[in-house]
Amino acid sequence: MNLLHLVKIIATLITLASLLLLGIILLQRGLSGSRNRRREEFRRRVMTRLCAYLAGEEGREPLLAQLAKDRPLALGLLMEQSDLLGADGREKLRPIFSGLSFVQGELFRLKSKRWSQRLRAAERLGYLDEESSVTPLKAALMDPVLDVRLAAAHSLARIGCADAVVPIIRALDLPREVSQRRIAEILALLGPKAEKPLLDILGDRSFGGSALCIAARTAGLIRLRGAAPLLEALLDHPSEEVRLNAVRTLGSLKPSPPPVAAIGRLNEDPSWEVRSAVMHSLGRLGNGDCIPMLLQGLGDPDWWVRHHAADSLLLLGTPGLEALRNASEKHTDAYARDICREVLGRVPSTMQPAEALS
Amino acid sequence: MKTIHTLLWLILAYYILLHVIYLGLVLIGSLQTRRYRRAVTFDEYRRISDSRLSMPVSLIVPCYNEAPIIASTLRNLLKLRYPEFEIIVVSDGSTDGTVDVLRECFRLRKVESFGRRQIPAGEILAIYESPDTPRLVVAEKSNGRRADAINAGVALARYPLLCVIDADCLMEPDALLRLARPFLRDSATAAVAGVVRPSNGLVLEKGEIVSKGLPRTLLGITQEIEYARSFQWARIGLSRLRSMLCISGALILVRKSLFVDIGGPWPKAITDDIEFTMRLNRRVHDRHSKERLRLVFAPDAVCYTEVPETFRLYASQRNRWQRGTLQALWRNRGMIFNPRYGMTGLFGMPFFLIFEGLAAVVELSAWILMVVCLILGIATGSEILWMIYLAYILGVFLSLSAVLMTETSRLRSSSGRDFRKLLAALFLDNLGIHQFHLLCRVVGTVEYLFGRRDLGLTMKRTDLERLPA
Repeated sequence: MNLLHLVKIIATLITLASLLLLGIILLQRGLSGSRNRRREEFRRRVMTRLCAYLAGEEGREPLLAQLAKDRPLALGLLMEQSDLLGADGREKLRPIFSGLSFVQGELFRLKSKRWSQRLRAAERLGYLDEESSVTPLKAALMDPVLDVRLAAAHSLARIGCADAVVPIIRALDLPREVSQRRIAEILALLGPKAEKPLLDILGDRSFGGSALCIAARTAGLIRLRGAAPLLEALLDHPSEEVRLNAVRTLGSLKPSPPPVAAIGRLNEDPSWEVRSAVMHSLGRLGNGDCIPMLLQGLGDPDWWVRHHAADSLLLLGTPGLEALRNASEKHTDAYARDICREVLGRVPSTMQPAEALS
Repeated sequence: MKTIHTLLWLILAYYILLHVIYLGLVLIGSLQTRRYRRAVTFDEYRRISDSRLSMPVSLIVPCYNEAPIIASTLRNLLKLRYPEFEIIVVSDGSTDGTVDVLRECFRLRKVESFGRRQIPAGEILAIYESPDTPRLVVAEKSNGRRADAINAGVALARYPLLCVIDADCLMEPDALLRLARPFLRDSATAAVAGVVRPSNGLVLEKGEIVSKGLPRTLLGITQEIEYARSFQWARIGLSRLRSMLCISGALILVRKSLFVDIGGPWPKAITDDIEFTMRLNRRVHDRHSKERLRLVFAPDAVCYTEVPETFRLYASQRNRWQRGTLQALWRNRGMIFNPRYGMTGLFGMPFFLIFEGLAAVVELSAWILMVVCLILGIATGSEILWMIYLAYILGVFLSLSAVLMTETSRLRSSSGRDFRKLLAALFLDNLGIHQFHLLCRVVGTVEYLFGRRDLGLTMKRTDLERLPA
């Protein structure tokens, strides 16, 4: 084929495609402009009615009538308000959600072939907060798409379904797929309702390391002090990750009596991360008995361990500060002296040590 | 005569192949963006911002002679919506009083600190903290290069994620939330790149972006389109093909352990970000590695950087980028066509070499060839015009794709006037500015071959902070 002929054909085709694209851009811009204006207007009207309803000045009927004019937008708006309002406000929104009968539609969408539909449905059902959604949401925990499983887990926790703890952990406890912190946070939404299942998991060695880590993290988040003996037992667990989470959680729970000796046993753990967490937790326990362990930590080969040991000494108040000052001059290890000076540099003479750290 | 014809066919084939790949990237990019948006659930970002468990981030801001803008940048960064982060500013031997400005604005006081040196870097001379702004740490070091300052900053970073941003960069308040999201979803995430757009035309008030406009000059607006092309479809498409070989140094969030593991950016690099991204890809996509890692592009995490609006600065910047690209390719040449790195080795690196590193030389050859054809009478004026028109309309088409993708996202321009200006610049870009860009890159290529390794001219910064009335 002639070169010029080919060039002409391609150039003409690309010109036509460009004109088409330009038309789409202009159309898109025009449409999105009018769509945004319509949304704003709807939002303004709904918000007026919603404020009146929440203030008790109006019944729910005028609000429902307004919302029914654009149900998808209404649902989004109500979800947004539900996030912004406190528990009382959320309770007041329940009759509005149920008045618009969204649940059936969302349950239907939860079975859709399109994962994005299932994802939205799984998320919305949590906001709609109805018992009838629990079983389908539990089934959605087995969805092939991870995002749908996560949304379902979140909604179950939002609804307050305590017996979903174990299924949630089983559904999401996939190696490296979801960060454990995210699952722990979902479970923490259950609050005190999660206590019993968590204790069951922590006491049951048949659960894998990852499940134990999630349970330990969640126990820390919901401040489950009853978990302390079980966490102490996990300090000997062969998995480094489990030991790490158990130490961290014990430090944040601050159980009484403080398990200084149990945590201190891990002072020579092969993992620097565990040793570092040990130092951090000892400081948080706030018990003077741990000063010798922290002084030992100052000479650790790892910087983070030394850093946390020095920080923790500072947290212990006057005895810790004394030990730190002493170590900054007399410790046999030059790195230990360095880290002590660095931490002491943060304490102005008028400031209390714990205040400096906070 | 026959040789010239063959060359013309080859160049046409090169163009067609390049644009077919680009078209593929547009399609993949738009599909990926759509999928990404659909996967973001309603309250996801609120959850991350409220979470006590979101991974804390150390922001490292290397700077050299940034006194006019550094305070505004920090005010902007301090307003980021994120549960826990620290900002480490590393003044790389600034001589314009950058540290003095910071000392005055944030009441800094010198502290005795040593940090944990993990990557070799220039010596830190002093460290300052602010009692009013505990999140801020300022380090002063002897002059090295940007990479050296970043590596020095890592020693002071306490958190597991590092976000490296330039001192002229402004971030949208939720940019860090959006960048951190992939780390919370998948523990295999090694690094996340975000979208960079020109900041010229923004207005700041106490560090907050209160108005978004376009740069004032045509050169600035054409760079707006160029950045949109590069970030709206090219990066996201390339990331899907495991070939995102250039993460802008203006915005990257990376796992600190990995950053340290690969030794941080190379201090001698002309463009440390390109070179670093290639090594990151080498580590992440190495089939012999037991660890499964991935690089992610977050199309909704946005930061703004100042682009040059004078031809002199523009030429210097593009020259440096070209030299940096060639240097990075040369340093990582072992990855090219190497099946050990999967798609990165077999597609990404060759693509980067042929269609990025050598594109300017090929395009210039095409221009020269057309002139030769005209002189020798091989082609008529109308034939040459058709060739030029083809090159022009291909560029317009790709820019329109980027504008369409921008318009369907939350990054669409709000003002109708700006939109019209953008469209006008899109049609004008290929009528001179693109050719000037080409020339800068060709000069860069030649200078690289002759051993030039310096960083070129320094940008003169403009403070975007609105002065009090």
